[in-house]
Amino acid sequence: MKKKVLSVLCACTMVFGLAACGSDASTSTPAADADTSAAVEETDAGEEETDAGSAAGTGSVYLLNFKPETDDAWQALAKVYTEQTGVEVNVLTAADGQYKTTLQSELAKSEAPTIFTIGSNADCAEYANYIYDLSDSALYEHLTDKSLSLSYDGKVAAVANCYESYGIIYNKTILQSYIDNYEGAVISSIDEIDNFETLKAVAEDINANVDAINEACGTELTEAFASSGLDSGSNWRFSGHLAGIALYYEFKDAGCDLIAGQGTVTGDYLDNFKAVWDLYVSTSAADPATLDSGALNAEQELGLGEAVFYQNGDWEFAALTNPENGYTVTAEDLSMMPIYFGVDDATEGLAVGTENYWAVNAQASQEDIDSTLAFLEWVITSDEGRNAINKDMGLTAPFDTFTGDFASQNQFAAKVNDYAAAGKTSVAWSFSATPAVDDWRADFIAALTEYTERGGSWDDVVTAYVDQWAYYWDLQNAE
Amino acid sequence: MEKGIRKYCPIFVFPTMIAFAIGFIVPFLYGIFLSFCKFTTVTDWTWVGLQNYTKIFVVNGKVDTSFLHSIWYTALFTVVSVLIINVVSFAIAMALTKGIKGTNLFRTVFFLPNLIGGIVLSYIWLMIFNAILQNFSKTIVSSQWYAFWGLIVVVCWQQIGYMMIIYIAGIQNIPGDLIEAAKIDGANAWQLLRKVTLPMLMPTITICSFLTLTNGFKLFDQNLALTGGNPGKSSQLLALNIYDTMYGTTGWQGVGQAKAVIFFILVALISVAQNKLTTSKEVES
Amino acid sequence: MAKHKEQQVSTVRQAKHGGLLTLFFVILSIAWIFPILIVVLNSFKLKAYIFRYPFGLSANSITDGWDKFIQGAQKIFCGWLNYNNAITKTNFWSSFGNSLFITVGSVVVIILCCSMCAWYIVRVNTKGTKLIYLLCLFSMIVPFQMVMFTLSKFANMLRLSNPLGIIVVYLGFGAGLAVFMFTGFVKSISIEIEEAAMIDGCSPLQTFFLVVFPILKPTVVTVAILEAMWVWNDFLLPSLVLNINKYKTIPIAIQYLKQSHGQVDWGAMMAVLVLAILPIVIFYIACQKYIIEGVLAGAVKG
Repeated sequence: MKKKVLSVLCACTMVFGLAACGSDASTSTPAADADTSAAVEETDAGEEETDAGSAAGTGSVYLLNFKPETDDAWQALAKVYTEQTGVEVNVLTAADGQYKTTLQSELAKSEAPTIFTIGSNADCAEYANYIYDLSDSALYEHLTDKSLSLSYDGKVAAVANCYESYGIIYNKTILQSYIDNYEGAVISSIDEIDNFETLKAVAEDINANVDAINEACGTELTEAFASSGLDSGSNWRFSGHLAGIALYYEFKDAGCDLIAGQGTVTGDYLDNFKAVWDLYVSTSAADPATLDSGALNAEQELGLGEAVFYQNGDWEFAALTNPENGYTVTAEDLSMMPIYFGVDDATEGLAVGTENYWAVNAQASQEDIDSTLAFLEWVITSDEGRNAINKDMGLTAPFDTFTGDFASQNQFAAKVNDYAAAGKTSVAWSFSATPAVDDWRADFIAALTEYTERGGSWDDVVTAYVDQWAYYWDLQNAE
Repeated sequence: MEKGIRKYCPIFVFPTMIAFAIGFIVPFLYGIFLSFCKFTTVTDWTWVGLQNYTKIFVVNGKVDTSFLHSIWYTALFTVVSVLIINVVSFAIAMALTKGIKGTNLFRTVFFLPNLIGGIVLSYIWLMIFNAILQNFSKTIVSSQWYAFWGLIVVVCWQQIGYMMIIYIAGIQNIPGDLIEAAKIDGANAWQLLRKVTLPMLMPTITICSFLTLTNGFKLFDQNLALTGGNPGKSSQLLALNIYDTMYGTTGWQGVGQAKAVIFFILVALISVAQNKLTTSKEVES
Repeated sequence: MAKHKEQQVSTVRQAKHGGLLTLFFVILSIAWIFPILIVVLNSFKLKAYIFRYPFGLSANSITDGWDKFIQGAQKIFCGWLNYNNAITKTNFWSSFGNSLFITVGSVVVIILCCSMCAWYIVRVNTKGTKLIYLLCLFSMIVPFQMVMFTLSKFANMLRLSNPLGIIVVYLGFGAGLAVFMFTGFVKSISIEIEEAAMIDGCSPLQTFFLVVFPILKPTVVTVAILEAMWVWNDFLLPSLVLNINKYKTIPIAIQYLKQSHGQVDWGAMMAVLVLAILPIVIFYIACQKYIIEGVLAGAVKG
C-alpha cells in the first residue's frame, strides 16, 4: 500500500519535471510560452485593457532598469504616464550587481520586460533573439550622435539612454590656493595643466611638499592623487577607464570601430598607461603594497580635501556634493580635466561614452512593442520625461530634445561641452569592444597588482593586456 | 504501529513533498537538463550534448586548470573549517550547559554573527584585517593563503554560534538520569564525555558535520565580499568559480551549469560517505 | 522539587569553576561581538568618515585634550541621520512587513509540515522514505546557482511570485534542512511512549501532536531559529521569485543602497542592518528562554 502511494508520488514528481522540461522544450516563442502558463494556472490576469489614446497603444510597458539610484524617479515617471494615457508601465530596477541575473530570470517569465538595458556588442550577440530593430523608432531618430547605438545583424539593436564622461576630477579651490599662496608652486595658472608633463610636475610637487603647502594654504592635504584602489570596488577605474584611453588611441591608429572592436590589440600605448599609473601611485599617500586591500576610499579622500586629483567620472558629482555625506568640498570647488595621456594632449578631451543602451524585446507582442516605443518617445520628448531624466535622475541624455532648460545639470558633464567647444576631441569609450569584459579586466588587474604591489614585471602586464585580449576574443567568437 | 501510521501518509508527507517538488526537484532536474544546452534564458536553449562538460577543462584548445584548482582549494578549506567549527562549538556548547553565570547572555553573543548576512560582515572583517595587516604592508589578498585563513576566521566566527545551538539542543536532549547513573557508577568527567555524552550526541554530530561540510562547499557570499577570488583567481572557492563562469563569460551559462552538476555529484558523494561514517556510530536509544 | 535540586547542584558547580569560566567567556564574548559593535558604531557616523575612522570615536586623538576629542567626535558622528535616511530610502516599514509575513509564514509551515514528514520517515522504514531522506540531503548540497533560473521560471509559471506563493517555495527549498534535523532528533526519542499512546487508542495524528510534538519542542525552537534566520536574511531567492516591485523584503531593500559605479551609502547601510537584525535578535532571545524552559520541564518530569 505504502509503496504504491510512494511510487505514484515519485511518478507525479517525474511527470512534473518532464512536463516543465517538455513544455518549455517545445516552445521558445513567448506566445506559446504564455499558453503554457495559462494551462498551469487559469487565473492569468492578462494585460489590462485600457481605453487610452491610440498613440499610446493598447499594450503594456515593462522597463527593466539598470541603475538603482534612478529607481524612485522611474517609478514616479511611470505613474505619471499611466495617469495620462492609461497604459500600464511597470518599472523594475535590478539591485547592484544583480542586473544580469535579474535580466535572465525576467526574460524567461511570461510577462517579460519589454525594454531592457544592454552594455556591449557581446550582449547583442547573447540576446540576439530578443532584439528588436530600432532603426525606425523615434528614439533613434532623436539620437544626436548615431554612434551612441549598437548595431547587430543589420539592425539598430539598442540606443544609448544616457552618456557619461570620465577624466581627472580635481579640487580647483585647493589648486588655486596652491598657486596663490605657496611660493614654490610650479605653475601660475590652473590652465597651464593641459598636458601630462605639467600634470606630473604639479602632482609630484604637491605630494612632496604637502606639509609646507598645508601651512601656506591652510589645507589638510595628505597627497596629490587620491588612492588608486586595486580592489574590485575601484579597479575598474584603471582596467576599464584608464586602459580605455590606451585602447582608444590604438584603435584610432588601426582605424578600428570602437563598438565592434577587433581580434587583437598591440599594447602600443601601454608605456603611456604606465607613466600615468606610476604617477597615480607615486603621488598618493596610500602604501603601494596594499592597494588591493579594499580599505581605501578615494572618494572620501577628495571629498574631505585630503587629495587634489581623483580619476573618476561625472557620476561622482552627486555623491561628492550631497550634503548628507558630510564631505567638505562643495560644487564650486570641483572640476574635471581630461586624463592627459602624453599622446595627443593638445586635442584630447574628456572620455565620453556609455555602457547603457536600451533594447526593446522583440519577443513581446506587437501591441506591447508599440506601447513601449510610444512610452520611450514620451520619455525623451515630454516635459515630465525630460525633467525626470535630467533633474531627478541626474543623467545626461544623448537626444536632440534635451536642450535649453533640459541641458545637463551635472557640472562635470557640462565640462564635456566646454572642452568640445575649445576644439578638443572627446575620447570614445571602448568597453563595448572588449571581449569577455569582466574576465579580461580581471586578468589585467591581476598583472597590474603583481607589478605594483610585489615588484612583478611590467612585461607581464603587457602580456595580460595583449594575450588575454586575443584569448577571450577567440573564446567569445568561437561559435 | 508502522502500519497504522502508513495510512496517514498523505497528511504527513504530501504537503512537504509537493512543495519539495516545486521548490527543488523540478528545478533541479531541469537544471541538469540545461547543463547539456547552450542557453541565454531557461526557455531559450539549444541542445549541445557534452560540449559544456568538455569546455570546463579544455578552453580554446588549451587545458584549463582553474576549476581543478578551486576544487582542491575548496576541499582543503572545507576540511579545515569543519574541524575547527565543530570542535570549538562543541566545547562552547559543553561549557554553556553547565549553568555558569551569564549563560544566556553568552549564548546570545555567540549566536549574533549569524544574524547579519555574509556580505556586509565580510566588509567589516575586511576593515579589521586591513587594520592589522597594513602594519606589515600586506593585505588579505596578498597571497591565496592570507585569503584562505581570512575566510576561515570569518566563517568560523559566523558558524560557531549556529552549530553551538544545535549542540546545546543535543546535549540537553540527553536524559539526565543517564548522566546521574554514570556518576553514581563513579565515572569521571573524561569517561562521562567519552562513554556517555559523545555516543549519545552522535546524531547531533552527524547533523553538524554535515551542515558545516555543505556550508563549506557552498560558501559564496563571504568569498565574494572578502577576497573576490583574488589574487588572480587563486582564492576562488567552487561556488564563486561557477558564478564567475555563468556571468563573467558571455554565453557560458551552460558551462556554469555543467560545473554545478559536477560540483553536486562531488559533494553528494562526500556527504553520503560522511553521513554513513557518523551514522554508523550512532547508538539507538 | 527537582527544579530545586538542579539549582542547588548548579550553585555548587558555579562556586567551583564558575568564576574562571565566566571571566574567560566575558573576554571571548567581547572579542566575539566586536565586529558587530563596529557596525552599530559606524551606523551613527557620517558617510565621509566611516572609512576614515572605522574604529575610532573621534577625528582627534584623546591625547589632544578632551575638548578637541569631543570636537572631533561631533565632526564624525551624525546622530540618527543615517537611520532616517535608511528608513525613507528603503521604505523600511513596508519591507519590514513583507519580511515579517514571509518569515513567520514560512517558518510555521516548515515546522509543521517538516516535523510531521520527518516523524513519518523515521517511523516508517521503507525504500520510499529512504529516498525522501536522500532527496532532502541532496537539496542541501545543490548550489543555488544551479537551480535559481529554473526555480524562478517554474515559480512564475505557477503564479507563486507573491508573499503567499513564496512560502510554498520556502517550504520546498527549506524542507531539506528541516526534515534532516527533525529526523536526527526523532531518532533519539524512545518509541515506547508512542506505542503506549497508540495502544491507548490514539490515532497517528493525535499521537504526533499530543505526544511527539511536545517532546520535540526544543528541537522545534532550534529549527525555527535556523529557518527564520535563513528566510529573514535571504536575498537571492526572493529577488528572483517575488514580484519585487510590490513586495521588497529587507535584504532586497538593502541592496538598493548600492548604486552603479560602486557607490555605496555605507551610513544608511549600517543603520538598516542594525534595524534588520533587531527583530531577529529579539526573536532569538525570546526563543532561548523557551529552550531553557522546555529542558527544565523535561527535568521535572524525569
